[in-house]
Amino acid sequence: MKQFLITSILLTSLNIFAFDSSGLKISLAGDMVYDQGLNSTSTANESLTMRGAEMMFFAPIDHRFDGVLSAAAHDENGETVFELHELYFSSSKIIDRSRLKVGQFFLGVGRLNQTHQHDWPFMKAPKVHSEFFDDEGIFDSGVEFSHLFNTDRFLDLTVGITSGHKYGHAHSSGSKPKVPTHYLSLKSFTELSNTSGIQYAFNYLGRTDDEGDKLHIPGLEIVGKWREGRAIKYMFQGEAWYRNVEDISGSNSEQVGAYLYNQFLLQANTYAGIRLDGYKDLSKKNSITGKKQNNITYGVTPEFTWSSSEFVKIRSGLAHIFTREEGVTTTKDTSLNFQFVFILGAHPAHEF
Amino acid sequence: MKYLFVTLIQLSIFAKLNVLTTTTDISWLVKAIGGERVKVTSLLSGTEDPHYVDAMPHWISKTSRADIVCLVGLELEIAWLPKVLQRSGNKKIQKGHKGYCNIGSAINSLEKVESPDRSMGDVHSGGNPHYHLSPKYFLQGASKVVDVLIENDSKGADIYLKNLEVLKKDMASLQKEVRSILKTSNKMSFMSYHKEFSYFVEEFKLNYVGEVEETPGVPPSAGRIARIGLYAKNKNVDLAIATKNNPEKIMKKFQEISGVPYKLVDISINDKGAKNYRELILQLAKAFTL
Amino acid sequence: MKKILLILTLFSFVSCSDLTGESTGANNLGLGGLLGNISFVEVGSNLYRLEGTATNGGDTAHSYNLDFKLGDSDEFSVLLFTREDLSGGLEVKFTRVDANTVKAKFSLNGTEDFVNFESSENVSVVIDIHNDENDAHIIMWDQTGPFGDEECMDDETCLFNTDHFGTKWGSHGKAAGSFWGVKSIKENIIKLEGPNETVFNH
Repeated sequence: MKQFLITSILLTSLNIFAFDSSGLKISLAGDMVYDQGLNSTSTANESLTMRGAEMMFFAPIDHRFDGVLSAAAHDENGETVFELHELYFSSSKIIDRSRLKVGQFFLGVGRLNQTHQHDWPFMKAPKVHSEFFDDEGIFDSGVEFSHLFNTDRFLDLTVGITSGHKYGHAHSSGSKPKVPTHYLSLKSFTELSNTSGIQYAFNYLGRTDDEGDKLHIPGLEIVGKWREGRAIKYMFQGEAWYRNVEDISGSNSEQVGAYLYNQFLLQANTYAGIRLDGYKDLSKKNSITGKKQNNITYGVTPEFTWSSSEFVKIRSGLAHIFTREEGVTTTKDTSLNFQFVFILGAHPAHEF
Repeated sequence: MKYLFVTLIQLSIFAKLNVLTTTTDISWLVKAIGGERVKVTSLLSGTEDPHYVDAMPHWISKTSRADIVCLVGLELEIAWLPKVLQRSGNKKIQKGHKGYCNIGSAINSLEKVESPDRSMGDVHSGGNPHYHLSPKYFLQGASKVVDVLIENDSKGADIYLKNLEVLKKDMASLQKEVRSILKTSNKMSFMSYHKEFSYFVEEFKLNYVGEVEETPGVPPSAGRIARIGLYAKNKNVDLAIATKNNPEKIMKKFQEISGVPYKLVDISINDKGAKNYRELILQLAKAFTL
Repeated sequence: MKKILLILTLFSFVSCSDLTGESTGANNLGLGGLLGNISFVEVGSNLYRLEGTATNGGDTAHSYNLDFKLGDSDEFSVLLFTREDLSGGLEVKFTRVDANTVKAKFSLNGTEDFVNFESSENVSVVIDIHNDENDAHIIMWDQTGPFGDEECMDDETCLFNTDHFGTKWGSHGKAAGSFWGVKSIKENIIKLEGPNETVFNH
């Protein structure tokens, strides 16, 4: 935490002329959550947690390249941990209709994985996202290339290859994988009006770790927005993913999961949303009988969001998550949740 | 039609410059100067609020094929246009390159804010971006259009410069027409919902008293509407103007409290309302009369 | 219309019971024996696979409570997050050093380390294995505590921690599966519990 504060102070005390001539922009985002358990088996931590404090610096480097640095301090079990999220340079001025990114970044796959957590339309990660991509998302170092096809219909392909030494939460530097992390995302869009439409994509991520375990994660994403005047009157967002891990012995472990979020404008600056999550372990077996255990996890999360402006959001909601296995409810977690998000300084322009 | 000129034989084999603009008003301006040498498309249709749109994927596709992108500037499109330009991968139209046409950079803008911060609401440090509602200020932007068109198509320079002269004459005629409409308006006092008419008011020397909004871009509270309504009543304000994008419910409430009538106008050229620049400005001028 | 039919076709591959998690009889163990109070299957000489499969294909975190006797020449091993044949997981092998000291040797993917700790004849430990991290994070405590977390080796509030600077553990990867078992003579086994929620939550 000290490191984070010292770095912030040093960087924000840079000579003002350096800012003006270099176009350096700074964005600071704060994300706070409070969970109150409502049943005896809830895992809610019942304290106001500083889930994330992110600082982002971005600017043109020169006439060809742009640079981004983003770092965050997170609360991990009561301790503040500082980590570098993104450090990369990019360009959309070298190859026609193409963008190139080199460095460390959140992988360009999936809707949530490419969006910073404080910009999500809901408070918590859906189960499928936290299981397949870690709570906040997967970032790694490598190269990503995107190309917009020269078609009337919007068709954009992103491919990337990253080191894959680590995947997910890690306390070490990881090991060189047999096949590095590689991914692609193919996006298209259907317009419903000049400012409304539906974007959808097919995604895939793969990796073979140093033990020889092969990971494959294909998935679909969809987001639709209907804008009337200044406000988005209705929005939906969903992702569905399948994961297969093939062990060196040839056995497969498979899971599927999806979420669908719907959000409605109630009145100026106030939105109501509801998210449904589903998750299933397709290969879970009873260790004694050897038979597959039928299991499913559901989440139902209604939420209210009030935005004072695009730079402040206050959310409240209820989360009810339960798991059933072989006709028995094995876990049940009901909690009341609150979130406070604010953004200081510049903020990068929004995607659709 | 006035802006079309007899073209040289080469025009039949000349590929038109593909110019993309953010607003329909800029689109009209570019067409007025570019004539037959340009094919102009506007990303917005004239009924949207340019502050509050996303970086739409179909706009990214269009931008990827443009030779020139002209924008209002003065941070009006800051929430979405940079993302559209970046995702298009079109190096010609990136900031600093010859296809990037920031019209706002040529305007002697009003209401610059020295050290803006977000407590001031939606303020633009470089000045008020709604300069298109004044023929005098809009014409300043025309010089930028001419520069960019010539830089991308030097062979058309003569035509662009000739079209600019025609445009100046037409603007002068429009200004005369507006002054005629407003001849009794200099005795009146006006308010608006948001500070969209500053350039029009400045050009035609109208007596402008203030806004219904307390903080730009933030819908006024009930308390604010009551206070400003009473203020308008005490000041004998004659008329309030709002655009069709502004919340009419609030204007109705304001009228109830103040007794001041209001009129709604188009903010931009659009298919359903003012179909060209002349119609847009004349509609606005008539709105400033009782 | 075509799209609706396609969606309905896809749904027809999923049965109602799949969506409601209804019983298929997979957990009907019948009248089997218990080992340490838990159902088991013998898979080799003194080698037993135990009831309880880790969730999420093993990409998860659990804790296991172990109570067993350990005499002078005895050995007790617990195998966690293994394949069905009990290979590929974390092995923790307990042997006695002296009357008051037990050695626990941890092995995972070729990385080995050990710790000596105080214990009488009856050993009672709890092991966390966070196999949802890039490198499985393993912590062991005495069941009676104290229970520390990531700094727990420094402040002596755990018996072993792969995240501790002093261990050999770095990039050792994850355990391969979702099963668990023990290797021991039956008579030494007192009580076994797992997979449970972790003691330490990240």
